[in-house]
Amino acid sequence: MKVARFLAERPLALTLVVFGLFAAFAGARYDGILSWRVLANLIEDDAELGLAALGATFVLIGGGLDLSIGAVCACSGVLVATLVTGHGVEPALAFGCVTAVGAAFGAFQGWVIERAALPPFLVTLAGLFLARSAALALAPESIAVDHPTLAALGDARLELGDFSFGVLGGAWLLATLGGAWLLALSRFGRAVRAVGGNPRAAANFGLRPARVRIALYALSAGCAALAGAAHVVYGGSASAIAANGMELDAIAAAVIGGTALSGGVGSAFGTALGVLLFGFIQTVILFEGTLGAGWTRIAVGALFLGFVAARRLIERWARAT
Amino acid sequence: MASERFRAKLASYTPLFVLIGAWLLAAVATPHFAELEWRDGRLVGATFDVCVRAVPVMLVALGLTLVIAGGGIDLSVGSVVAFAGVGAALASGDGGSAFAAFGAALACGVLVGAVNGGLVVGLGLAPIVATLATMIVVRGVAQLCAGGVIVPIDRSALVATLGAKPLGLPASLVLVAALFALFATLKRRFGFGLYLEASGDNPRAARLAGVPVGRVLFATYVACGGASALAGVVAASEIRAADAASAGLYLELDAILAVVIGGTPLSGGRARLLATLVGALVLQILATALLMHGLAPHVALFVKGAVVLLASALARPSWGRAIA
Repeated sequence: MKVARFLAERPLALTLVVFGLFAAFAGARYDGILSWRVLANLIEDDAELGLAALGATFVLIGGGLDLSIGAVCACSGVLVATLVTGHGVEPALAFGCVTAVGAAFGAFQGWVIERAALPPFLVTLAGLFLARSAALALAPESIAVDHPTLAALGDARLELGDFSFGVLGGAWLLATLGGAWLLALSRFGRAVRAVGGNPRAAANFGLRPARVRIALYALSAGCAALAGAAHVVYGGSASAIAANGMELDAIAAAVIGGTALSGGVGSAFGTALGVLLFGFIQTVILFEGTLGAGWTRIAVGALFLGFVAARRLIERWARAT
Repeated sequence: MASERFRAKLASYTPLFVLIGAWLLAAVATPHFAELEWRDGRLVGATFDVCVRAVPVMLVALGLTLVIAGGGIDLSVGSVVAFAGVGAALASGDGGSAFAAFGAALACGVLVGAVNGGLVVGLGLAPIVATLATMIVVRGVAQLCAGGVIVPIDRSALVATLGAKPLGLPASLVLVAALFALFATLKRRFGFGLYLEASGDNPRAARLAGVPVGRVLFATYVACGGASALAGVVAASEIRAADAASAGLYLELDAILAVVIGGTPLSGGRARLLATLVGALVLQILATALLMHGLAPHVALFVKGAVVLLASALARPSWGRAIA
């Protein structure tokens, strides 16, 4: 009885147990997978998804849904590449520009959703089309980015013994810390959780749900734009068809990390853990060597479904006892 | 009173006016769009092309109309198209009959539909969540079944069957007509339509009135899976191969759009099957006309994005009344 309530109130406990079981399985099966170097690579490789998933977490907690994340990520990557290679803009300035443009696009989507009272998935689906087509119009083919600052950013490492920390991992860590503070301790975070948990009660309490949600869509698209910039730093190129389906991965990571799809509940650290679990599964599939791309999809989808179903069952169980 | 009824009647014909408007616009703006002739025993022309190319979306959207009328949504339809295509291709290899191919594809589709229905009705998951997950998993399963390659179905009985032209019409259009007739009969002649619209409108009230809401909604997901499977067979036989990675990609968006343009509200409670077919044709007219103008695919994407917003705004009841 106590177990049910414990699990119902702490969704992250389940994630940790699954992560532990996976790590034990992988550690017993493959030499060297439980090493600092693999963890460092995991953090560096998943920074892009981590940034996007952080934004998705905020929207989900606020009771919304953003399907335009992958398209916005690709579009901002292309925008960074065009600005840096085509117009000689400093990378730092380009990053700032695309984040601002992304946030403005997100705010526009939020405004349409609130103004026309349309379901979020429909409007952000249209946003997906618009952002993808804008990216394709900007760059029909993949752009290679060659800039000394970007190359230096990509190569910079902070060596701590076996553990080496790159710029992307650092940016993700900082963003997660900032997101955690914003969500758990700030006024805005309390408003987000209140609006996501019960919009009517929040409105009666004097909050303005529409404004909060518009801010959330801006935040989500801003994070996706940053992820696009991270993509350019990581890969040294940008493509309009990059990050296809990333919105699903981001939502799955948030849910695996304990975010409730019904809104109101979730945490930045949980999402980071979800992203790491996601990356760990890909690493295991890579170590296995013979498994195709299909397996990654199946594993991620099954895990996502498993978590959602398990939480539903645990909630029922906790209510019954 | 009478004018009120007349207005409501007129508003329900909005999709048809949109279709006529879209066709006229395309015909005026695009050279050769309106040409249609009888050559070598078959119709040739852009209008005919539009009908044939719209078949996969029409099939999927018919199933989706039922799901949406029940207050649900199915995002996994695109993946089912890929999965069923692979199933049909594998079953029709080595001289398998068209019957076996259709059977295999339908089995794939009904299976996924049953899983969706079970997750939504049995476990009580939000439809968008459950079908998002099956969308990911089913595409993975399709890629696994195909073994990571494109499965060819050249020179099989299936291609010959779907290439047949009864009464000069392509078999795929006959398939659409048959599925429409089946769903429309279910909706009109039996209690299913009444039950479905009651369940979508107000599930609690429907349950209290004795409607088996759970079973009705489960049936809509199974029907949608089956309809998507048929679309998968048609799509695969068109390119004579099943491509698990990219078949049906983004098809769910087109299908949802077709339903929305047809005026079925996303909040559920109404099923407008014929109007959904009209919605699919409107989309295809747009796509074909843009293509005939030589525009890049991304412009078509952009136009589609704009159409979603416009159509869904028009589908709102208050708007519908205002413009009618």
